[in-house]
Amino acid sequence: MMELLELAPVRRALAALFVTGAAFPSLGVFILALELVPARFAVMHASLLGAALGLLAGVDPLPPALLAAVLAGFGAAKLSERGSASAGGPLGLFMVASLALAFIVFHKADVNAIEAFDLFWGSVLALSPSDLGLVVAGGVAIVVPVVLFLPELRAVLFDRVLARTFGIPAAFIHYALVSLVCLGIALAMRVTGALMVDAVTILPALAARSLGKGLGATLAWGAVFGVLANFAGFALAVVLDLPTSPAIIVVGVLLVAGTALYARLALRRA
Amino acid sequence: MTGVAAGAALAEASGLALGYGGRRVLDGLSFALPSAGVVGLSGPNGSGKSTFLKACLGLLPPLAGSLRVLGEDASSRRFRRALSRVAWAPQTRPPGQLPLEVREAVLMGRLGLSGFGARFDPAARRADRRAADRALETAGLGHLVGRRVAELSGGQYQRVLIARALAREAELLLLDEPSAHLDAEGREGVVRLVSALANGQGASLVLATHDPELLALCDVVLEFAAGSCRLLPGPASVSGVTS
Repeated sequence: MMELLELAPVRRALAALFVTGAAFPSLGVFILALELVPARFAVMHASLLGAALGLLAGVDPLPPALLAAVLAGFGAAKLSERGSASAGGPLGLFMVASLALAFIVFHKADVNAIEAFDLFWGSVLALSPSDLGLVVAGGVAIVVPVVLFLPELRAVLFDRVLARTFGIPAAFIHYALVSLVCLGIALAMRVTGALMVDAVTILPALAARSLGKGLGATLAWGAVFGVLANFAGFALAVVLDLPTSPAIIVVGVLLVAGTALYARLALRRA
Repeated sequence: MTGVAAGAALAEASGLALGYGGRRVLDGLSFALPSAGVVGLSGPNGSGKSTFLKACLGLLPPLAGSLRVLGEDASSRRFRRALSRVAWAPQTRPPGQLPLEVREAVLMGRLGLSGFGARFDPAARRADRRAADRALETAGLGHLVGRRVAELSGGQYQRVLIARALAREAELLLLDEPSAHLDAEGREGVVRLVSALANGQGASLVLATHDPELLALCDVVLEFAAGSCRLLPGPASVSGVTS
């Protein structure tokens, strides 16, 4: 195990796993609170379109994919503002439209679709130094506002209209929060791959909700479970020669089941 | 927590029209609500009670005319400062997926009362906590402090909303249908709490309600109907319930 640490990709992977484990479960808590679970699929498709346009322009596809994710966040925020984010209909339309445009770009501009789809098959061991820089920047962009503005975030998540009466710029915070969630999803895709993005967002958040009664405690437990699942999953992958992201998911699912069982037993004892 | 100074009007409307997207829900309102005692807002569903409360909070700018609350123009930018003197318990569904502890929910009422730096000042945080605990005791929720809001009954949740408003220690307390959609036990707890607030020496109270038992606490009643309203003496001004 120790000799693995001498490899730069492994060191980068561990750094990325620590950052995503500590910071990204906050996004899972917000996704659940805002009922934005379907919106993250829209973000994945929008990111693909962004990557396709980036390849068309001859630039690194990651930054345009991240930009597209933020724009998708604005769209999702607009829909959730009207209370329809969980309805799925408008988001489904948004998803297929993004996908259709991406394929039109692939076809007409002769862009190599595989390169764009690389974004979907992200792997923590394939992170470049610049990818890691983006992940760390994303982690800081999540943690700092959450720590500084937790009371405001709590109020906006509770009731945006009520939050306005406290003098809070509720609409701005709502849009910023949803955009941050979408940006985080796009970054997490790079680390775990799109299909396993829940490993670093939703699963630790679900485990945390079984133990944390309030928002602050849930966010803190989410960070603990995120780091635990990432490192334990990585170790499991190395020891048993498994792919990393699925191993992290297995540990995450076990944590969700374990904490749910603990919460149920605690409730029975109370 | 003290009410509005005697003699000063709680709210004054002049030719006031309110509505959404240009559609007028209320029109031509002119009245002055007295600061003393309890003000009731009555009328059928959709008659404009909640709309009027939102205008009192600066959430809904007038389509025409003017509305002054606690002496400030409710549509002006300066009104944001006056909002620290107003607390509101709206009709809100329990937060579905948001993890929220009872004390956290009540502490929310302290938001915006002090500057950003106060959240890092232990003394200011203790003061906020004490205010929240006082509000929880007043609302009879002291034993539920560490519980999740999602685990509460409808009546307990409504009292949490009122406690959150009380924690603001405001001059003016706006309660929107506090006893609506509750079972008998939940309603009884809320009516008892609102009665205690009405009979106490605390904030001036404005109460939008259909509940005859709550309307009986009111010194004046603003009755909404057909896009307008009229100011009537309340049952309490006759029977002396709140005095």
